[in-house]
Amino acid sequence: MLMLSTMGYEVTELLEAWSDGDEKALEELTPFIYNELHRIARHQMRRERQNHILQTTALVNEAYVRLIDWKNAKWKNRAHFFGVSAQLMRRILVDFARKRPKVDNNEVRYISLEKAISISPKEDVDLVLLDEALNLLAKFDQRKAKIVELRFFGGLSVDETAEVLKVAPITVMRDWRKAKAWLYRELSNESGKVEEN
Amino acid sequence: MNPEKWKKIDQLFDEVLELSEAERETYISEKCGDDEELKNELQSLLNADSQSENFIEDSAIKVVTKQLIDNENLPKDESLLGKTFGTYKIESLIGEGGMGEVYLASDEKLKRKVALKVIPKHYIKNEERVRRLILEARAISTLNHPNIVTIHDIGEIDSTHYITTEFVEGKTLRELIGKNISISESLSIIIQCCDALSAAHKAGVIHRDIKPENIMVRHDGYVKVLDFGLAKLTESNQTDSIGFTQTLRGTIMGTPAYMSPEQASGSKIDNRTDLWSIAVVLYELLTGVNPFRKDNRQSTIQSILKDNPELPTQINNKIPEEIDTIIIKALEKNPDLSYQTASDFSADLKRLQREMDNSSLKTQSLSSPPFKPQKQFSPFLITSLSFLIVIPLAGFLIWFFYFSQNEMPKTDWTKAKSVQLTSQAGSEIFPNVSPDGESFVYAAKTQDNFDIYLQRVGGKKVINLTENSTEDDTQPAFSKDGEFIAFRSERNGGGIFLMESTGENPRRLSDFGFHPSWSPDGTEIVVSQKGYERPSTRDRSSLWIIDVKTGKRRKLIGNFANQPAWSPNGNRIAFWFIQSGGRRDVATISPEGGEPIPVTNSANTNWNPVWSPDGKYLYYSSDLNGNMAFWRVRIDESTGKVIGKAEIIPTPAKFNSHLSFSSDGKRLVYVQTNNQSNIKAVEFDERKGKPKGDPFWITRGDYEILRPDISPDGKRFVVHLARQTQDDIVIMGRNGKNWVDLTNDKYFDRYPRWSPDGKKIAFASDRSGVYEAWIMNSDGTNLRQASFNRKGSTSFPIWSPDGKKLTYHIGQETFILDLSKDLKDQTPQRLPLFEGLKYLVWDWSVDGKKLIGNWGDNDGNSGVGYLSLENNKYVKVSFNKSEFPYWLSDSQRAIWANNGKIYLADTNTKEIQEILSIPDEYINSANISKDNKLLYFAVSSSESNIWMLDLKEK
Repeated sequence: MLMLSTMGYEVTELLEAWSDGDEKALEELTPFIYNELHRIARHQMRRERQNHILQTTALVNEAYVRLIDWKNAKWKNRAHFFGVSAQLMRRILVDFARKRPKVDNNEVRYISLEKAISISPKEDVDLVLLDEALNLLAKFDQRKAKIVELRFFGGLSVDETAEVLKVAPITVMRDWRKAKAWLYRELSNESGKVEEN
Repeated sequence: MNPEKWKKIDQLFDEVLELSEAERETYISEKCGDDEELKNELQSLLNADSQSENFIEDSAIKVVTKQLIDNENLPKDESLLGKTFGTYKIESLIGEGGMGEVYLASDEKLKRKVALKVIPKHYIKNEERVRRLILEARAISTLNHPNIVTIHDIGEIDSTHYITTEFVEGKTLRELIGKNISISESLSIIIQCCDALSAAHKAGVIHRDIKPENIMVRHDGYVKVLDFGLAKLTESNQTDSIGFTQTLRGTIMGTPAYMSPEQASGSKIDNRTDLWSIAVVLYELLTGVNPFRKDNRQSTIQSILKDNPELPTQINNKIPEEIDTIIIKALEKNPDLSYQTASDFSADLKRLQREMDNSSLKTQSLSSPPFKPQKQFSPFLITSLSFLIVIPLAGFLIWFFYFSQNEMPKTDWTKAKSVQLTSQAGSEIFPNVSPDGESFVYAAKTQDNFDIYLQRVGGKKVINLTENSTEDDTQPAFSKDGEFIAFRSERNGGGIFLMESTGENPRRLSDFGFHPSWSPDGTEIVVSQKGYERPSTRDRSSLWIIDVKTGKRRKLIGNFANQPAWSPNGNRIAFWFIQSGGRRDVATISPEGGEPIPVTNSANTNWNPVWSPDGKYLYYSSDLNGNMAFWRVRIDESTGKVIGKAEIIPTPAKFNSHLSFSSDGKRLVYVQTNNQSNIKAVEFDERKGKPKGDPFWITRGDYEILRPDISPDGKRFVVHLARQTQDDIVIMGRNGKNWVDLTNDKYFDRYPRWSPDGKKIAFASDRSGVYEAWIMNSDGTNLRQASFNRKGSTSFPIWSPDGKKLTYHIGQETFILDLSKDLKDQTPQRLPLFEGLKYLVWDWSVDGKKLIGNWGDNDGNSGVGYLSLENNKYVKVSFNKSEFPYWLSDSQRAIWANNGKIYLADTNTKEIQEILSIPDEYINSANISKDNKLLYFAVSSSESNIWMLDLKEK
């Protein structure tokens, strides 16, 4: 049961509530974040000027920083905060991917101007499959799974991840590489639908 | 996979990677022995590793937004436009609100224009609630008042909820705030709003979301209040009784700046909530400033609940005192003590207005004329410095930000006037304000070296203080009495030099050091051993103190310390340094030496510390927030201890650096860096296939000019000029002068191309609601639409050499339009498609036979190629992703830009050569004149100009 605060609701408080186990907070947050994602996408299309698709990390960071009002003294420590935020992003983005309708390739589709130039899209990661694979990985190597969660879903750099997990950056880099290899293999098997006896 | 096995594999993996390719097999066989399973696991993992380098390197948010752009979930303005929605035909997108898009639509049944608001599905969480709220919205629609936007229809089509209202043509108050509105006009506007509120309240409806964005002024002066009660549609209410809310969850997204204390604290609200909000709007109309808005939600809400805002008359003394009384009453925190009804409020305003009419205060304009930043074309050709500062990317979850709730900043920089001081081409950097705040010095590059310039604040005349020096002179710093300037110079072996503030009598102070900063008594200077170009430098540096008289020096601290700043009372020296992990932080140290005390401690870039003149604050640049902004923190100057939390200083720019203060602390001068693209050209030797002579600038200034196209007669350029919120087509002379806007409106107009007869321009524009191909005469007349695809997004219109056809690109296909036939009804010819190959065309060869452009395939390869119209075959010419290519008029060779350089290719032999690259200049597109004599191109650069935040002038 969410406590009514005197300040009105803010995303940070919902985040907190969610980390305390309140699933309703996720419900509140989700449409808001979906809306932000749409807004980022729309904004991005209007801003495209040169031949660089999604040189948007700054834009995305900006938007995300706006999403979360970062003033809060209640977190036990930074690691806790980052850990929870990355978890939340993972939840929301995977749910989002799950709900998306499948693409119908036959319809005439809008292709952004600049995308027409960069006409060689790479394979997009299937977030749902990745999420499942990540759960598998966590069963025998928690730290690697955590690193992927922090880096891929949370966007943290190697240094930042190292700080949160209190290990050396070189350890993060090695683990990240191995985790990627393992996940890549998992996902290739999945999508390749290799039949195993 | 069991954990033990995994541990083995984990370790082996690392070990194997340390070996060379040749050694690996043996090592693996050795270590795995008979364990086939282990061996296979390890090898398949290593195999996967070789393929997974780019795997999930893009963060998940990036992936998702990219998917949004690429696939479905199309932004609404593309998917609904032109469609019919019930009885409404959607014409264009007129706005984007917090909860969905607003379109201009025509009601086919009633033959009138309406505003159609569509509420995205993901906004509405509870169907039952929606139903109830729709019922209430219907009640609102029965309100009939000239100042309330009429609601025409509410309903649901294809499970999408919508509301149509009266379409108001005019401006929102948001657009009018800060512009020249008279006091009388402001009063009149608010009075009309009160009339609207009065009518609504009488009918039991509370608006709940009064703010400048929701109030429009029609061209005929009528005020219309929008969005009555619509705020409720996104709220999740604890109680369902109409008129009362217990929670405010719907306000997550909105700005809290107009919320009443009851709203902000989640208490019960009633009609008086609207009165508070309209009073805030009145305040903002009169003063140009919101009384409570702070940098983040939480502080704004705190401000609403606790602060007594500054009185309007204190912000602008032209406002009559009676306003103060009215505002004080209207912004009483306890609603029982403020205005109880809209008509009471309105009555006081009307009384005041009548008084003003009588004493003819009416015509006084409130705001000073909006400052027009001086953007001039510099008469000097100043070459630019690519001041590319690398901002390390921060994960978007990175920072903690604590906001002190007890510290009120002494000077409120949010009220400062923002003024551009320099606008020359190139970069002006390292500004330093004179102690009296009336002039400033900075470094800028003319010819080949940096010089130090002196300029009066607000003046245009610029004096070169180091004119006679042929070496770089930078980093000037006024002494505290303003008589001397210390600076870094490369002359005579380099070092710190001293000159009088007139530039006379330069003398060497030391053969060593950068970034001089004076001690308050002027006897010493602290310098860093290495200068910095950018905060991403990894140079080892240290701080040294030099005695001005003797030149003797002593070391203060090592540690990669850089860019020192001596505090006003002499007790601390601030600097930034590089920490492990690549962090850059600010710290202070006593001039006597000892342990430095950190000021910042975060995983981002913090640099460029500057003391406020009273020594109470340390300012610095930081990208904590995602962009390089100024921050300050309250500090104890004698101990270096940080007091309270850091706050951000708002400036209009995205990238800010190099602060400097006047000694009264009222003027803050800094550098803004922004991106530009300008045209440069060079003569071309056609025979040799190389440029000859030196490149020269055609345009040079704070512009973003993209993809220039030269006219067939070579006398003019047509360009795509990217402005703040619009893109326009502009024509200029070959010398870059005599600009003429062919379009200048809120639409995006791009990719202009001259017709072969030089009389027309084809371009892509979204003025019909979607991007289509358009044609106009080269004087801008006879603007007509050429493609009518509506659904997709049409772009890149290309003329055939005889001017009779136009190709354009849409989706993944290219079509040819016959311009002699009816444009709307013809079925254009489609260019051939190829299995596994996508391409677009950008230029038609003069012999009419080939269309050159870019191609891409499913494996991620791309490059330049052309379609031969004779045999319908596609020929690949290059295999690197590059910019758009153009033919030379021999229909055989082509040029394009790639990675900042220009390449020339022979499309028959497939030979490709780099023909031009300019150090420090990134060429983003390249083209050639029809006579093959002029190679012209667009160069990206980053320019830095000096701006000022000014609290002195009112």
